Amino acid sequence: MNATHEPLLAVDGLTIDLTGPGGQPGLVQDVSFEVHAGESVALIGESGCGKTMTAMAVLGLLPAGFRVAGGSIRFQGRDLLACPERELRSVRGGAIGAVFQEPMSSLDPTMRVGDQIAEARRLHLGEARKVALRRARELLDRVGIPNAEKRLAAYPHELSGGMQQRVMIASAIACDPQLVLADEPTTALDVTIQAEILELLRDLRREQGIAVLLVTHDLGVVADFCDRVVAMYAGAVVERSDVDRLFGRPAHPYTRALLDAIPQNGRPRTVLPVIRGRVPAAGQFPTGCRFEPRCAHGGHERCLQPQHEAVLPDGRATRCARVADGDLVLAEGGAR
Amino acid sequence: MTDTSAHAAGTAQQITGAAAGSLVARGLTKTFPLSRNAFGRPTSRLRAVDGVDLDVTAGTTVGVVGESGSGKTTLGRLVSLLERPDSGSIVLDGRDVTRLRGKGLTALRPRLQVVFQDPFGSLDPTKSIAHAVAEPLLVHGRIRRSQMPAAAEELVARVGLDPALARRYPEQLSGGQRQRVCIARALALEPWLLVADEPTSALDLSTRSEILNLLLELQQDTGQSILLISHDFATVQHLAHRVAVMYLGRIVEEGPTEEVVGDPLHPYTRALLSAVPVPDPVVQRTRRRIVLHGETPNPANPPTGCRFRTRCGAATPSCAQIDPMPAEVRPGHRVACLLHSDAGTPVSAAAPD
Repeated sequence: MNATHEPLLAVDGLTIDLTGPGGQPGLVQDVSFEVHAGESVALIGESGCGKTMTAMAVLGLLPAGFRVAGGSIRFQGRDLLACPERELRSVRGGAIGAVFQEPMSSLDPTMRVGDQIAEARRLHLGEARKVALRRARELLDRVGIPNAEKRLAAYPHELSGGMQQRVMIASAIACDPQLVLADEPTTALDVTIQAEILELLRDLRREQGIAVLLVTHDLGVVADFCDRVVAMYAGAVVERSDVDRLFGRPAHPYTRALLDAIPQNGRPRTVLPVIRGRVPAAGQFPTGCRFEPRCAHGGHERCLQPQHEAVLPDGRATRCARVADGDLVLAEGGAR
Repeated sequence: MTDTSAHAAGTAQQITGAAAGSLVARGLTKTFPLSRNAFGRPTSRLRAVDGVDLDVTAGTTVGVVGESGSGKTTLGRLVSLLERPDSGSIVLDGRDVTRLRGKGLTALRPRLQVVFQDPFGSLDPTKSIAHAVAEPLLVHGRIRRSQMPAAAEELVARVGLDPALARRYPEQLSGGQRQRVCIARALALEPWLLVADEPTSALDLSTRSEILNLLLELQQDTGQSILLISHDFATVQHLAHRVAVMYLGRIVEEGPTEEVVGDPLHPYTRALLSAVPVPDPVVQRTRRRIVLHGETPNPANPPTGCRFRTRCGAATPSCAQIDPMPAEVRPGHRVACLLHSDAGTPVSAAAPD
């Protein structure tokens, strides 16, 4: 977490285009953020805001039709976008592990759990099957799966959802990664299981210094688990902040509106503030501030100009020109 | 649809007058066969819902929370008469509807409507939104086919959507809009009881608050009762007057929302609440999570005595001997736990099947 050191992951000016007919240049526009060693960074926003797309770009797994049009993704000083596919393959699953939302669709249903975990070590480290399986057993122990020896031979469908997600995590950390990219890892799970999975990820951070980039739309999970937050809206980063200040003093009307939409403890059965309208579809982004049509503080002349990220004196970054020069002061406090 | 709206106003009056929508369920039990022998006889069964008592006062919202496998969805299906209980009774507005069949059941259906979790799976992609929302009116003979477009537009407008959307198809709508359409369809027949099974789970945070607002407003306008099934505590806490907490087919705690959330009594409720992260990092850092040990037991083979004892931090030997029964420990607040009341049946008497 030392800012003087080079960050583990530095995404700078990342722009992703949707090519082909009905394409959209700047689907993800000028996204910049850093993840330092051992740190936990949240990528938040509604669905369709480009969180997953950004994460996929880091893994070099953009779906067909999407193309990185600009910017750089540096991991341990190496530009992943300039890497040949071969080299990228050694990073992905090696130094960067990935955990996705649906464990059942990420695990191979025809393959025994032990072999799936061992596969990563065999491919990346060239270990023999026996050696890799022994390590897989240790990993299952590590992620808190009881009876690891027996579970090595189990198929994914024989495990509960929480156990499947633990297996996913075991294979993500199989090659001792520096960074784990977790895309909604607990969204499909019960809260008690969610708490256990977050606890496991926390242990891995503490004991092995693994950094976590967590894609989520659950602000409770963010408050519980993350050090810093990158908020995205319609393909652009609207705010970057540490977690305490994001919840205490949001620096963008969008984050403020997200916090307001959370049902509050002390005020049951009251009408909740909502964000009017919805995230514009790809291809229909406004030319000015992308949030302006839904913003409670929109309509200003400056809102119609393209917005650029401005860093506030206290280190928070906002993509709202009015907040940046003090013209707009947002309410403080998480609960209102 | 002018006659229908006049009818709606009339029904709202009746509802407040006659308190329509009260539900009293007693001893509901539902088992599903897990495997069968060569003769098709079940050899093992899963008790999805096991002796549940549930009351919904007319015009109020009751939330049902619990983890997956707790039987909350089955309970919702029993209450909405989509599934027939093995035993127990369901009394709707003073009338026992448990064994209703044929025409009697068809006549009652409009009174019980359901909204499901997945707004993508519950709308026919080949039918327009107008068809989806107005079809119930047509099926139950409330309108003629020629009146469908007008009726649909009115219903779509009622859930806060642009009436022009009625001409579109499900794939052209966002998740939140689709869920509104599902709610509009459920409301078309002016139900007394709306069973909402995870209505916000598939939605974004900002869309969730829209749907919560909509359910609140609709209840204030028409006074129907809502059974809200959810694993999302924030949703239940915001909407429900009362909460029932389920674990392995049983209700372990039930009471007024503020009491259950503010001062939970059952160790399971405490653990469940402590696992819900608070969206405030300063508060969240000070909270202590009650860690549950072990996995949820196999619902087909639940522990003897208290079902939660295998994961409970406060379990004593007697928890294995006595099957605790829900008992009123505070006015209107029931808990099934030996820590709070002695009510229960000795295990030997609780004939396992």
